[in-house]
Amino acid sequence: MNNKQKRILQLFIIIVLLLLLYIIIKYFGRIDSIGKGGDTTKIDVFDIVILGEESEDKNEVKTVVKERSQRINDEPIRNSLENWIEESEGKEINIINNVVPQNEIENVIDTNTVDTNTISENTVDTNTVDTNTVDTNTVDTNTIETNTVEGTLVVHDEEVQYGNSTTVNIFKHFNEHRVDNRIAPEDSDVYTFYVRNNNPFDIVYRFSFGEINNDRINLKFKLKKNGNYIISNWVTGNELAASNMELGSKKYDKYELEWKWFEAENDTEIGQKELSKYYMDIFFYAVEK
Amino acid sequence: MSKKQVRTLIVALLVVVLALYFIASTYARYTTSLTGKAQVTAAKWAVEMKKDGSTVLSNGFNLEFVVDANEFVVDNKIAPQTTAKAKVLIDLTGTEVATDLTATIDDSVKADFFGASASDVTVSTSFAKAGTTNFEISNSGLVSLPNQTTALSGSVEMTITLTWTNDDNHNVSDTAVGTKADDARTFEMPVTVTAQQHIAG
Repeated sequence: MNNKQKRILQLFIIIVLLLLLYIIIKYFGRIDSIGKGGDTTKIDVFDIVILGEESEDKNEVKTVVKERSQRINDEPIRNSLENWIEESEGKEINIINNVVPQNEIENVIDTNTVDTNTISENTVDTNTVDTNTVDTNTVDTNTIETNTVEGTLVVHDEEVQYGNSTTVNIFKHFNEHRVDNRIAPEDSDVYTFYVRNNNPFDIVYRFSFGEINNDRINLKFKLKKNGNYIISNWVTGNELAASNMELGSKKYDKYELEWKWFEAENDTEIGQKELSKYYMDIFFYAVEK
Repeated sequence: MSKKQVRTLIVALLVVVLALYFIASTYARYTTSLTGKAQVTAAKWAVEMKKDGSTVLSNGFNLEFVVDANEFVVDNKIAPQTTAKAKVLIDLTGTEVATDLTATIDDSVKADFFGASASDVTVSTSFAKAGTTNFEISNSGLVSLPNQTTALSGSVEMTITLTWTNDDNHNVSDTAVGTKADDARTFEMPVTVTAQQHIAG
């Protein structure tokens, strides 16, 4: 074997090695020892359940889910969604009520007392704050108990922490002229939630909302991030989304989702139905930066 | 192994390490996904207007005004200083919002018929609970929810009162109404009865 042949052989071996490496990583997942970070965070299996509890048109539900899944760029998530849709074919669709028990979260929130821009990382150490001993009047949202999911992306509102298909109370509001848990034309309120990065590394996240609104309830939304509108025009639930949101380690973003039922011609028709429901789902996805 | 071969091998290894770095940073990142869901139900609107206690009214219904007895006017005729009443039953059972009840008349039709005396002809409403109800109703027609967990149950009787007040300054126009031909002296008054979701101001 002359020198030239040897060089060709070496090059061939290198190419084969590279190919093997590519195939291994692509089809067998990450190699933890190579990855950045070093925490024990795992990929959560994506599980979306947004189905109408009493939705009459389940096919429509599936269609909506399918359409939304096609908008998701991440292949693993899209595949997961599509698999779920396929698995759902021909089956009864059930709601999974995976509500985090309220008592797991210390409800000691006073968002008005702290300027989010002035919080240093040192004050956001959730591990050192004992929520049982803190004066509830002065504690900011950082004291919400997140130790149970340390080292992950945490999304929570003032009642629950998001998991897989967690039921959240976006439309909770008080109006003495409505029966509880009902909305009517001209009703409006603000739903506040937080995205918190408990990881030791920075992340990039995105989220999107989706609605199932068979009766065409004229609900519209605006969205604020840390006090500034990122969606300043009234939009439908399907148009609510944010992407490329960077979040440093141990930092959080506060979101305020404003909602309002604007009067429309079909309001009375909606009210006269035996049951008219509006469904909304929220999907968060974060990746290490 | 010659020096050249060793150099080639080192270069090859470097290439592998570099490739490894880039591929790893692409595929070996932590990811998390979370999902939430919410639902809300539109408040039920179950208002029915009824005549004679049972007949459900739809648009274009006819109500008959009953003229209050007046010893100086023939029965069922109106004249200055008389009143007439019509009643509508409004069933609110099942409605999940507080409700405003109102009645209005078409002023242009009234003006056509009564001329200058039109301002003397007014419509007012009064309300009373009909039978057993779980709500209260104000003089202005606001039906309030009994509490935040219970829908309205029961009916309201709305009384629409037409009052023709005497004003001696309008005697000429009053007389003009009274001297119309027989078939032109029947006044058909468009009344709009409205039940509307109460919106706090």
